[in-house]
Amino acid sequence: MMGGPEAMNSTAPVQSAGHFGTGNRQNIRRRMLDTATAGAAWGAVLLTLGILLTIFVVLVHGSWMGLTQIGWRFFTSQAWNPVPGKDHYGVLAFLYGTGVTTFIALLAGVPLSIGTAVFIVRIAPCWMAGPVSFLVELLAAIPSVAYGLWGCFVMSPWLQNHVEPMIYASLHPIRLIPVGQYPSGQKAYFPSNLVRGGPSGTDFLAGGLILTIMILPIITAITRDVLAQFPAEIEHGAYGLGATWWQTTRLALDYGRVGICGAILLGMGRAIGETMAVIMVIGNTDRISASLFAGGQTMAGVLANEFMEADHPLYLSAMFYVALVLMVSALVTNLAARGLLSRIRGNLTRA
Amino acid sequence: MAPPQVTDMVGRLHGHSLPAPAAKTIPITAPAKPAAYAIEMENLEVFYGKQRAVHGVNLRVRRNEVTAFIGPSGCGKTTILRCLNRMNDLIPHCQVRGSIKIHGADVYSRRTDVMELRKRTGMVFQKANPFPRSIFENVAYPLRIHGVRGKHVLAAKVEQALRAAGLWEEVKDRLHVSGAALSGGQQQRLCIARALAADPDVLLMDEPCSALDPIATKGIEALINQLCQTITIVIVTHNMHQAVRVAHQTAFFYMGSLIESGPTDKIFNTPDHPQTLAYVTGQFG
Ligand SMILES: Nc1ncnc2c1ncn2[C@@H]1O[C@H](COP(=O)(O)OP(=O)(O)OP(=O)(O)O)[C@@H](O)[C@H]1O
Ligand SMILES: [Mg+2]
Repeated sequence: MMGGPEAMNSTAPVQSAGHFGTGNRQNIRRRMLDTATAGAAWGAVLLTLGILLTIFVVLVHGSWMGLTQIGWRFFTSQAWNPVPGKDHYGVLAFLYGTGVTTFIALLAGVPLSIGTAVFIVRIAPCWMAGPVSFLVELLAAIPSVAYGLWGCFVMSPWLQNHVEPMIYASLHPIRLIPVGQYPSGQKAYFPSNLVRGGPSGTDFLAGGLILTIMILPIITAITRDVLAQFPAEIEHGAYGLGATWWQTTRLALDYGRVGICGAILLGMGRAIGETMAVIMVIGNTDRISASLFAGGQTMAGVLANEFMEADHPLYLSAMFYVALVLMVSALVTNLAARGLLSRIRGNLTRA
Repeated sequence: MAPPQVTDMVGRLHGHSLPAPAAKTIPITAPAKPAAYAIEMENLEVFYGKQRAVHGVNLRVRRNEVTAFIGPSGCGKTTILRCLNRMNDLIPHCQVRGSIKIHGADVYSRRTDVMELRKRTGMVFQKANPFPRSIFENVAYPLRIHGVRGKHVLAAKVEQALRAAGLWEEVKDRLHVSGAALSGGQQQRLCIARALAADPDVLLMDEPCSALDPIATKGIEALINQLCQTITIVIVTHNMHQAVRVAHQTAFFYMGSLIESGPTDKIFNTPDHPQTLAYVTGQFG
């Protein structure tokens, strides 16, 4: 950089090293500011990494007693009985609760989000795409306790009184596949077992549906961006071969499948970690039931509910253990999502 | 490759305000086949919003020949080409007036099945646009979307199309790698194969070689010379030499109007219109 002017004027006498000066006060101050800013940025990064690491270490440390005393049995037992002396801890029921609610949320949320994104990008006229997009993103700005309140006072009663009776009436009599028997000795059949117990309003279904609404914005927003990147040349190529609108849209979805998978995983991460809204509608019992109308609990839910009550060491350690499992599952889904999304960003910059 | 045979001059077109001094030189020797013309445009006008991009073009494209569209940038070549398979339907505010007939059928009739029209009127774009799928699936795409099922039928048709596009020998061992993994010239031939798989009777090519090196260009030109034995080809090109090499007929456009059209050697050697002469000799455009 500095060689430029000298090289151009090579016949000029070589200037002494002091030509650019050893720096006046102002330059020294400017350089110090550089160093300080860069240092602060590094510090912030290290602090963030440090916090992440600390959380992990604290979780492992906190759950150490559980890890050593309960070990793998934690994952095979569904009983959660914190009575001192006779206490027994298994995460299975909560793992199941998290899994089922997340599954319901994805089952309902993925088609809804992708449909909304397709509408925004490929159907809506310009004047509509913006506002619809904005409204969907606004859903992400609502605090989760507000969702919980709405779920508890509006959605749950509505489910209990209107939706679930209908589902019950249509599924209860259908006994297609035998799936073992209940403890009472009664035989269980699919899909009748999905509605066993009748409408309750505070159950897996309610938990799953509230999560559906909560994961909608993130999946929609990313899918929308991915679809918007579908190259016009390919679109015209497809139309030019006589493809219909839907066939071309399928090609666009196919083109963006990696990004859409990333979006779904991000939504899944959100569903796994979501706490407040879910505990307000899920019924909070540590049971595993195939019935959508049964109450349950999620990992995040049990932590929020019982944190204050964990008054003896093993109980507390078991709570930490739950938190560790939760964090690892959320971390894994998020990392997978980021991996997929960064892959498509890489494609974009290379293109 | 042999230079195109210019056998007759029925391709001489009307609709231009110039007197037609060439009229006396046109011997109508072509047999009076009912459909000597694959494409007939009458008074074609295209508007983008209020702006008129094409002014009353009358042009007939002969069947099983190669017709080149030439003219300076922005003169409406692409616009006209995209009218022929109704790709302009995709552009909002684009309005087409006049009539276009392909093999006698009115393209802009309300009863036209646009999907079928586009299947029968293949299009190759300036930039190769392979789909994000395997080579095989790229070529099978038009077959699949038009309801062809059955592994063996698909495989046979894909091979046939790839052979027709002169790509088979190069890709037969890696049909299942992504179409994007091919070289630029191969990608363009893949796109031609894809268009051919739909079994079109007309192939529209919009500057198909503009992104290719001379060797790949030669390959595509040889291909065009071969394909025109069975299908009608319209090719937009900025390359005068290419027009001379591949086209039987040439149409010269300027500012949205058809200035002159006719057999290629006439357009390039003894055009009627001074503007044409200026353009083909490289004095403007
Ligand atoms: N999508 C569009 N919207 C509005 N105007 C357009 C559009 N496409 C083309 N035009 C206009 O129509 C005219 C003809 O454009 P066209 O693309 O047909 O030219 P062309 O002859 O293909 O040029 P080139 O050789 O550069 O490809 C131009 O004036 C252009 O500005
Ligand atoms: Mg063009």
